[in-house]
Amino acid sequence: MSLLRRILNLQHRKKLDAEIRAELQSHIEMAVEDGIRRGVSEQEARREVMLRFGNSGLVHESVANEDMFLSVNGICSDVLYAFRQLRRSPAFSLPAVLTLAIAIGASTAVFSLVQAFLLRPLPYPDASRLVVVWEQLRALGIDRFPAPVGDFLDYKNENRVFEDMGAVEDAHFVLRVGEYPKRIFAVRTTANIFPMMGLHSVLGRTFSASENQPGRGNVAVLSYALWQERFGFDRTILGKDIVLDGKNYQVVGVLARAARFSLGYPQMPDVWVPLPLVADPTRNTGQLQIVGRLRTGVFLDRAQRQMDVLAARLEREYHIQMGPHGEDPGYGVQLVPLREELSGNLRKPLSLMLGAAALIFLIACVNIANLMLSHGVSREREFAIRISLGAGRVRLVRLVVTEGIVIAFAGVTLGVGIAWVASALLVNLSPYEMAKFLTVSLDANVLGYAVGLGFIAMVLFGFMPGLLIVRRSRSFAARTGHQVLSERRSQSLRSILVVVETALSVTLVLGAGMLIHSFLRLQEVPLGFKPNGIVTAQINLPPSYSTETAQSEFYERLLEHVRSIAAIKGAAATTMLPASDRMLHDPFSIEGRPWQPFGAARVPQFANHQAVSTDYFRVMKIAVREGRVFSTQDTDRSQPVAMVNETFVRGFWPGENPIGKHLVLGAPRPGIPWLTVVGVVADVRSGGAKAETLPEIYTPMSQTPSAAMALVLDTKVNDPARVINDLRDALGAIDRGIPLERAATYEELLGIQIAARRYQMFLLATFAGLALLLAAVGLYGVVSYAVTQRQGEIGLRMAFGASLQDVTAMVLKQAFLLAGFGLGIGMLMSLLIRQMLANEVFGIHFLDLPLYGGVMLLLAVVALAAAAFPARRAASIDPIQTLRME
Amino acid sequence: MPKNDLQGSLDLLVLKTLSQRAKLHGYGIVQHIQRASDELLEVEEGSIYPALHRMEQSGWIASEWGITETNRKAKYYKLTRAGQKQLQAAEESFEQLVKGIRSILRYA
Repeated sequence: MSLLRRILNLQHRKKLDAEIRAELQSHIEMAVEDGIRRGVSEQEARREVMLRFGNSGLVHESVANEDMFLSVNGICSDVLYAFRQLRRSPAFSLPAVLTLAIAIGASTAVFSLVQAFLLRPLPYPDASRLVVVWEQLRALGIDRFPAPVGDFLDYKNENRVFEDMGAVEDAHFVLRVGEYPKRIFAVRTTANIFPMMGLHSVLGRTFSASENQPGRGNVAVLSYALWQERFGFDRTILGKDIVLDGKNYQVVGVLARAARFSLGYPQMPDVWVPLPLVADPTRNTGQLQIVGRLRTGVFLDRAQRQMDVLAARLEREYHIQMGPHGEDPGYGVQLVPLREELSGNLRKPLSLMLGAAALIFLIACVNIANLMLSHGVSREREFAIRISLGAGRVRLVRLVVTEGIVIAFAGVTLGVGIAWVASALLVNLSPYEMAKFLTVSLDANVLGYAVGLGFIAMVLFGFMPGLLIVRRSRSFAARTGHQVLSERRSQSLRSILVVVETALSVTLVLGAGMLIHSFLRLQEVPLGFKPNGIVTAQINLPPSYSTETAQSEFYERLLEHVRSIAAIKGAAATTMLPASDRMLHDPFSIEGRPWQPFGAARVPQFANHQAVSTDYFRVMKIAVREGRVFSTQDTDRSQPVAMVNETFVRGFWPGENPIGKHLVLGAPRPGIPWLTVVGVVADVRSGGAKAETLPEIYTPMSQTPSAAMALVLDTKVNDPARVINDLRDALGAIDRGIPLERAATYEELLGIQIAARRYQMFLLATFAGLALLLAAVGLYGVVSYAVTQRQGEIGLRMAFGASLQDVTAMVLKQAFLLAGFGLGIGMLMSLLIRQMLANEVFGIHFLDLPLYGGVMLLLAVVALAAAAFPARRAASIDPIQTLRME
Repeated sequence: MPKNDLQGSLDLLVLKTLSQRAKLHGYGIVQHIQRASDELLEVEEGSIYPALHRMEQSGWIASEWGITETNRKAKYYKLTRAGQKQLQAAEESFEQLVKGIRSILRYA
């Protein structure tokens, strides 16, 4: 109540002032009257009472303080004062605000990615209950295997833990609208996927369950984007037919613009068609991705246990001897939360980045503490004077705290601005396809994170040094100028802080350096083929090329056409582009031997199989070790042949002549001929630089044709765009209905593979650079401050004959000493980091000498840069003048 | 021990003084304390007025303007019911303090 009254009293300040004045005046008059009564002169009495009263203005003010809530005014004036104070000392406030802003900006930007990818609910209704159902073939090392229709129906009908369950199969179609065929991404789905994922139509309808019955599924739903792009928002499209792969589908609906759907594929499907639910009795092949919504209150582990029971029954019935050699494939069912399925692979790189950002933040905090400390020491005198003039401790603390808040506020504001720009940049540069699907934005949580960081920074590292100063000022209040002791102690505290800061940034630089170095090493690993100068493109023949003869004839004709192009030296086709496409992992059999998981030297009895045209090895410059390569003599009427790689020979025919031996993909079975090995080629890193090399089996395209093949073209000119255009013409000359896909240089393909890692390296390098910059600022601050403090000492030394070099060396020595300590500690800590990154680090020694040497050199440069300016200032000190100052 | 510090003692003295008179102005309170303590306690003018205003804001005392014997306008203070309770509490806690200090002086 009294507080409220005091606040209300603020309104009547004038009236109150007058009243207080009158009251005090009457007191004085009464005292004077008493004095006169005692026989003193009026003048004497007045002088006496005024003396007792002291400063009447002060009394008046403190009386008024009791009546009004003047502290409100006080806070405003504190803030204003703090602003003025900070503006007057930009050497302190500018680096403090900038340091805080950079650290908060970097951390918040990374956190906005974490928030979007890992924390915020997916854009589906009740997304936390959505779970993806995968089959596993554990004995074959496959833990995500698509399910056959029969299994899906059993899962859906017999489980008691899912509210609903739907299935999706991805498909590619060629859509013809107008002149150009376009290959589009489509999905076949069960009807319940639409309500389950919250997908609404903006025009027409989605599917009904009856359309999943076989023979009734010739309807299609279009994505909003396709409707816009290809059909120009034509509302009469409803009821019309579109032609997909030569088959007619009636358009029944268009999805809303905001509809988003992904089970892990990078783009939104363009066309949706019903999935025909026909169970294949053998359940040998599956293409379905299954997604289900758990019943409310059912947790994942309970659902998993139930599905395990169901899977055990299905295994006995269908999957017990389904391995390639009649062995048990270890069938099972695995439930994966949809979020984990979509962005689980981002958890590791994102936590790495968050960790790096946290280090930056820590370094920034140390920097700010340092700045605060030096700022505080230089103000000790000011505080001492203020205290002796009667300022209360509370008031001083309030002043220091207000300054901290003002800095934090400025830092957070600027930091959020930086985060805003940086997170947009991070998303645009990011190779994570999920970024297109999940929007990254600065929402309330992200902003809260930024504010929280600012608060932590200020409380932990801003206020404390300030309070320390105030506490110390009190004990020094009695003395006047010199606070030698406190300065020396705070200087050593500052030195410790700078060592800590340097150590942290060295740790970060070394950690980033390890990853970058192993990344570069990975780039240097010879792939076994020469990608430079090679242009690639993918072709998928439409179902009209249904026979193997038609397929192989088409590719032979195309290659012939392509070889006649002037800019092309050589052309070949393959079913798999090494180091770019997914490697196969197929079991194979060798004549006269039982199948075993491993051959000699622990080479697994699984092979990557590739069907290639005759010129493939020449175009890719893969060395032939033994025997011959495929030729035009190898046809579908001649003896079936194969080539293998060196790893194959090492594992299965060590010390033997492989030429003439027999093998077959899968299990030996009647009607499937043995392949005769005719040649051996050098190993190729088909799975990329980091993957283990598998045995390879190459077969000639003429004997094992395929509808989908990639072209590899060795070019004479460095003009991929022209080559691709020529290729498109050659293709058009044969069949205008076939789209050319993924046309790119081989180096571009490999670049896509490493883009994610390169992105991560780029960010880490940026963070490491920031850390070094902050450390340099901290180092500069300490050394520069020390020069100021020791001005007198330096002047004295110079007066006693110290040369300029001596003084410069003294300053540099301090900087190098601090940096050296930081470097040592940082290197020790980097060993810990190395342990944590063990899985990420590739091909570098435990003690990476070039890296450590480089970092040492770098830090020496940083220390030199940080100390150069203070050293010059020290050298330019005029001894006469400084001595006079003392 | 906020109630036992020096400011607490000044409050106690003022409340006690006002409890013995119907009403009194600031100057009178200073004079009374000085006389009653045989000039041992000297209350500074600079601290009595903030204290009076604080106690008024706390509702322990009330004020009104009146005329002195010498026909001068002055602000008079008197004890409220809340002030009487406060006085009782302050006296008790002062007794505690004195007891505590005595026993330390005797045994320590």
